[in-house]
Amino acid sequence: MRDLELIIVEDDPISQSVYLDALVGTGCHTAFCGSVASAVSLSSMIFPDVVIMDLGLPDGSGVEAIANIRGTCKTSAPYILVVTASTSSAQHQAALEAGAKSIMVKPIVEGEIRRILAQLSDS
Amino acid sequence: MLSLVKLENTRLQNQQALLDASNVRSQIAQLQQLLTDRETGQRGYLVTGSPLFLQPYFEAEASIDEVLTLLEGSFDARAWSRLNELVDGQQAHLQETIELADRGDTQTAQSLTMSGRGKAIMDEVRSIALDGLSRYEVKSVETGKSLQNWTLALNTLLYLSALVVAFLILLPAIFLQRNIVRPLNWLEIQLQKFAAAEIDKVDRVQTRIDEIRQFSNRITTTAAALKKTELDLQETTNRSHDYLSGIIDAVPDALIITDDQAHIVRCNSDTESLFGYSQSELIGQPVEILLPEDLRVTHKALREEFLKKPKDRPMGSGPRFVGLAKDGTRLPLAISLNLFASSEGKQIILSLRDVSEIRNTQRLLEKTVEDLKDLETKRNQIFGMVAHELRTPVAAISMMADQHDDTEWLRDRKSLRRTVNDLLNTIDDMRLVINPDLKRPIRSEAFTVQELNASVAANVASIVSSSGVQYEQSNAIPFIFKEAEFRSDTYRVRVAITNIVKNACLHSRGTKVWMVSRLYMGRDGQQYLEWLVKDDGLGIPEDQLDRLFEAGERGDSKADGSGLGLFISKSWIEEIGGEIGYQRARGGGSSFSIRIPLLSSIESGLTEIKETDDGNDLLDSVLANLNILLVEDETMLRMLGQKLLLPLVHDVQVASNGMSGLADFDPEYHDLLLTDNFMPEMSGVELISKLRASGYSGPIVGVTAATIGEQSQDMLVAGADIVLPKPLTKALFRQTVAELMALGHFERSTEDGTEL
Repeated sequence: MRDLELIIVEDDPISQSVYLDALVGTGCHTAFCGSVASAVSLSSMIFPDVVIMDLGLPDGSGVEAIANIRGTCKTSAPYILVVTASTSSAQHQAALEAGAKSIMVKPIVEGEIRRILAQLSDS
Repeated sequence: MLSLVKLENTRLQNQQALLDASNVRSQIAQLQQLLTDRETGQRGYLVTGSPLFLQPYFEAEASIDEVLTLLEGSFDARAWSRLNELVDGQQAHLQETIELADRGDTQTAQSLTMSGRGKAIMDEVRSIALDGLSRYEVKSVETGKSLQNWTLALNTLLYLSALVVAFLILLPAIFLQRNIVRPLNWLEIQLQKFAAAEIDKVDRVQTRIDEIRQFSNRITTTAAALKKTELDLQETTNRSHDYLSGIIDAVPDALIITDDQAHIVRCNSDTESLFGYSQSELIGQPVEILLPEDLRVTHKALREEFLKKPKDRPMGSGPRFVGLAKDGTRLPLAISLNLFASSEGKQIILSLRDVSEIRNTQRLLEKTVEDLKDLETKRNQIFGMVAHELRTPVAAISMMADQHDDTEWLRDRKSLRRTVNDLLNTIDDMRLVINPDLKRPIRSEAFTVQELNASVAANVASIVSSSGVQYEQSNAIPFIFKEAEFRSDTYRVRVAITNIVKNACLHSRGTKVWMVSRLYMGRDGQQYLEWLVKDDGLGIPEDQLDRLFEAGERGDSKADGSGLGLFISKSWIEEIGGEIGYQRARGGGSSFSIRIPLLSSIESGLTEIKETDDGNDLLDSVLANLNILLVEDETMLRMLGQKLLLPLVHDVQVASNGMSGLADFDPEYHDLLLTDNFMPEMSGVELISKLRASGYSGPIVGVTAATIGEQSQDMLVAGADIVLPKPLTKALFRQTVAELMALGHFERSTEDGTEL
């Protein structure tokens, strides 16, 4: 069981609070940000284990950020979980092609987030 | 012989006859069985119509002729031909019925079968067989009889010859019996008697041996018991030996036991440490080994004298001896002597005490040098820390002084205040380093992460620009927390983060330093604010990691500063429930994290600093009537102090040193003396002592910059009620007056106040 480096890319304050509740007791070092630019810059510094990524961000699409993070953090190969309100399968496909590991359609399921984190923390 | 041959022939004939009869009987039985089988096969076929039953029919058919051939000659001719007829007859009869059945005329076939012809055939076969057989049996009976006759004749002949042989043998036998067997018998009896006597003797010897064995067993048991007793005794002896050794070692003097020839038989561990020899080196040696060579001859004479006229000599009563340690050191010794007689003869107990203070002094000196080195190290560390911690705030003040005009001064009062507070805190911390028993009090202030990060950025700005690294800072806490107020000892947190960022800028040898504030979701369920400081430099070598947070460690010798930064930061952060950790950064370089429990300003359990008025009316009325004499040699501070206090009290008069203070102080007018310590002409301590000596018992408060070390104590010892650290503030002064009231001062003023 190790502590995970986690980046949450989510521009909606209410969704951020949901993540806050979900993360209690998980041992995650958690950085929050709400834009593609800050997600990319934080990733290049932190080399995260996990990125939780919203797709609709004010300065662009999460898909862009995913591709960029995959490129920057080759060695740490972060697990990228897309959590989006979008149901467009074309968008999902694009995210997966960019390097996302899995996709969750909002609403955010706290239990599922905790399950994924626990699994990664144990691996 | 002839009769024997005849007898044998007869016996063989009889045997042949019996065998023939038996063969014929079995062959006849076989024939009958075959005939019955043939019939059974035929019946089965008739009843069931199944050709399976014809199988035994044909099998019997095939064997019948064979058996008949064997029997040929066993019967007379008539009986033989009749038997053949009967067999053929049965065959014809059965064949007929089978053919009838084959044609489907089962009824005729069955009635033919039931006609009794088959039975008649079988009966006749049986009677012929019996006839033939009886003929054989008669024959064997005849041969049997002739055998009996021959046997009788032979037996008679045998008896007769036996009689002749017996007679021939008996005569010598009688002779033998009389002349040999009898004497032999007699001899045997005699021998038996003799043997019996011998056996009796052996028995007696055996009994004796048994007795001896029992006795020997008893001896063995007794020996074992003795052995055990011996072991017990040995153990007891060992125990008392241990006990004795324990006592001998516990004696605070060097203790030596010698025999009457002055050979050392025992000594204790103090002897070893005093002389530097081990026990094994000393035991067996003459006691003179412990004396300088020039004294050995004299000593021999003296101890012989002692043995002649033994007299116990208590410690210190005799002349001082000089001993010789293994390393050649001469030891002035006090000696006591006791003679005692033991089982091993006369023994002498010597007690030796090192009366030289040299060794003790030497040890003390060594320790003092060590302490001094420690102190020097500490002093260096403090000086280092002064340079490290004071530089930034002083630089900030200097920059403000240079860059701002008066209006900006007022506008930036808040940041000036903070910078000055940092300076004062640092000075307080120097005091803590010298006196670690004093813990830095934990303060609680409200802060936002935004503000805290901004102040860190301001603190490190000059280092960042001078070191040339690229510094990036981001606040990655959730949006809802960005404006939120938390509580903590912000000074500690700010200094810790600042320290680490500065270290990264100065020592990492990288090009970039990042600082990110974020959250740590502790496994204990507690949320923490966490500041991550990362660089892309060399990282800290493995072998230095375990000392990273120790006092005096810095990881890089080129750095200025004391290295106390990390050490102090760590203990400060831990004292407020947080943690500082290091790990190699992913992607290279160092990564430090500082985390503190996330406490909202409401749930904070930390003590708050109260700077507001407590609304104490009594205190206000005392202050309003207070006349103060302020003694301070520094013009600026004297002026500022007067200005600060005047609005609070009735009157503030000033004096510039102890001498004029003593002259100006009027117990009738002044209610309180506030005095500095280090002043020309007369110090504060002297002023206080003189006033107390003159009988003044009113309140005296010392105000000093010397909060480090014992000087702050001096004024208290001289008679001050309270000693305050500089600078004086309004809040501090109010609090001090309240404390003086609590000590029982100002009662007159209060009365005056009420009278007025």
